[in-house]
Amino acid sequence: MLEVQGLTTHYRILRGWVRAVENVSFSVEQGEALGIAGESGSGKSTIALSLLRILPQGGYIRKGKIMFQGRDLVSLPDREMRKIRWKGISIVFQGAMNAMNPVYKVGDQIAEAIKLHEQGVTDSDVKERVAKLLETVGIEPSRAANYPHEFSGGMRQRALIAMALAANPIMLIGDEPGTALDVIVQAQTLRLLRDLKDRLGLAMILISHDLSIIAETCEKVAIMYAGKIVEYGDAVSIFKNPLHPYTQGLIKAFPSIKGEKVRLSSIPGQPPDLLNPPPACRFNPRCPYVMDICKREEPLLHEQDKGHLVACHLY
Amino acid sequence: MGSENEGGPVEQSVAGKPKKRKSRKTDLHYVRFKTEDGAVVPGLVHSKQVLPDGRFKDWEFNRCYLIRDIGKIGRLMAIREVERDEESLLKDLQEFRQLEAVDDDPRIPPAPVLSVENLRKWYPLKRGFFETVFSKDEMNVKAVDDVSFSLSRGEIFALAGESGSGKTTLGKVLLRLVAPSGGRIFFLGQDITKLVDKEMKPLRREMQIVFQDPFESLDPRMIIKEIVAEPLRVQGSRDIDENGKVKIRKMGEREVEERVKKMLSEVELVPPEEFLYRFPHEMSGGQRQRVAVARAFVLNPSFVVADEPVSMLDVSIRAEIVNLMVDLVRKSQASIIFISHDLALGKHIADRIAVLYLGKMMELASAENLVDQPLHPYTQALISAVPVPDPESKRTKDVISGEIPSPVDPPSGCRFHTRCPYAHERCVNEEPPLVEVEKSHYVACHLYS
Repeated sequence: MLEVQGLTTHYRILRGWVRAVENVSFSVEQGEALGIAGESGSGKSTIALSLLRILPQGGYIRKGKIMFQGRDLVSLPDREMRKIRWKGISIVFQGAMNAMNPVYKVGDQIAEAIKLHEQGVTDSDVKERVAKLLETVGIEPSRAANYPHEFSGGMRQRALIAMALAANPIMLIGDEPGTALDVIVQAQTLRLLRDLKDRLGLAMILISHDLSIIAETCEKVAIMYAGKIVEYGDAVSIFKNPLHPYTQGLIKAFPSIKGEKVRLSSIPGQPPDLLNPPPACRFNPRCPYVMDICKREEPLLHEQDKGHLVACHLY
Repeated sequence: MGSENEGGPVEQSVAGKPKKRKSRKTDLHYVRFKTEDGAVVPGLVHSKQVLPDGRFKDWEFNRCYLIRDIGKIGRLMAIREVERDEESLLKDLQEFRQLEAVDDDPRIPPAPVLSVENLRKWYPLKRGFFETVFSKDEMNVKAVDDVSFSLSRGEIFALAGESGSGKTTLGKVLLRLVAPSGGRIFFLGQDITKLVDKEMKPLRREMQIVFQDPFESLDPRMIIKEIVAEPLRVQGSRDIDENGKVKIRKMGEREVEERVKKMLSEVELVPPEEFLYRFPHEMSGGQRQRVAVARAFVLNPSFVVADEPVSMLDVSIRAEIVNLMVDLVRKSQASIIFISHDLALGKHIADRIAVLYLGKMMELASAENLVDQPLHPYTQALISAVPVPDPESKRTKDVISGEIPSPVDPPSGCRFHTRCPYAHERCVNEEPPLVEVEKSHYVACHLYS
């Protein structure tokens, strides 16, 4: 349904180009969830913004194709693109606390999304749709008349999801949907997203720095480092058999609630400056297995096991 | 006193009397010794003998003494203000001079660095005029309600719970950054519940805090050297001379720089010269949090509150900062309260974990015990909600519904009963006390009492 090929997005600043996303390819089918994981600054959110073409000023898609239902979103005129947003692909933003307008009622904000994207719906229809949407995400429809500050954090996150579903999209992007929520509310939100995906047959892209959230929700995983995908495959093989040293480090850095009490391990060093990233493999300054070739030649993403791709000279 | 009788001299004498009595009261301190058989022996000391940092001129907190009149050895545990009749106080005071310092006795457990008893922090709600007229009951946000525990030297104690459970407020009350509304706090044997700011200042060198967000907790207009040096400049250097006397002196510029450099290398900002003259915005999140840690540990405190110190950092950097803090705590024998909503992290670094819910302590146990065998339904719910980085163990258990209720009007009885899957009638009516159900495993739940 969605196929991204060689997507390259850069930000233009005074000192040059920030290479936020370089040559990224992936695909998502209907009813499937793809998780994109990586540190902050690895380009995860830029991918989401590129898909919808809502990059902030200075951000340009410089190369690549985004094929959505047979059409390339990169070359689509703005007017056509507007029809894709919300009806084709919609997004749930990070930070449920600030993503809503505090001076409009929650119901009205959802209604606005419906009215903007669908012509000729009557007011009573819209009202009914809002009530139904709120019910889908587990909020009492009567709460539509409340303002965002009258909602708790978890309810605001649910309302945002309802808003994203307002124009019946076929694909949903969640940009850190669980962050800034308490564990219990986070678990509730993730369960809701999973249910929605199965019930409505949505395609989903979940962006998070938290591998465990992705492990629980997604079938496919892409691990990003410094703007590139370093490992890509189905969730089970990535978590059971991580190949890239970065993925291995990330998984090890996670304190597990199960198992023995151990000293936490970390990946030493800092993520690179994307203005001038390290040559060849961008992970080489932090990699424990670094070899000469890592500093000379860029490793290409290749299939190591069936459906499990990795970009590393070790393989 | 009649209204016609308002003469100057009469009023002066009336006003003068209670003032004098008050000062006499604070002259005396109530002390507690713990003897080898576990009994607590109370006594009194004159405040002239107490130094501001919890030491005595002649006796020292957490040291063993022979109490002559009962013929036992006891460790000095706590000092607090008294409110008793003055005549009986004087008699006790005489008896208590009968003390003699002896060598530390291993039979007597060391006194806790910090202990709190029934600590409370209620924030009163602002009310409209009509509400004050028509209803008498005060409305309070019960952020911390009747919490008791103690912290031993070198211990890592984690406070867990959802947002709104009172973790951060408790941390601030322990440091006396906000005044408690009830209960008592003992720090290094001294009752600090009611100390005024001036009396708190010498103790502040022993208590520090690391905040959650290193982007906001460091002054953007100060260079790193000044940020780390600030505590040294405010508190000076504390030296103990050969007679055991404590002296505070101002530190010289060169000495300050040496200390700052040493501290920066201890938090692995090496070489320190490279970081001394940077501003916070020139550093990454992880480096900034290292600076915050350096600032907290530069005075060698005996107690640090870390308020979600890693929740704003990337996972790959998180472990480094956590390990750094654990190492510093182990090395300097400081005690630390680690506030975190992440029970998985708590399990790996803490010695003990306490779970808070709406300002009440629900469960308290050793970290492994609490996570592997949680007893309270709330702890169980928290643990089952933690996502596991394993795609094959898809969560099967039900996630509890609802969110934390408002602390203004917490549910009656057990505060968790509105969300508890095992709630029964007793939970609605009766508040469960925190009881020890296994050895050093405390739970406040009717299922176990």
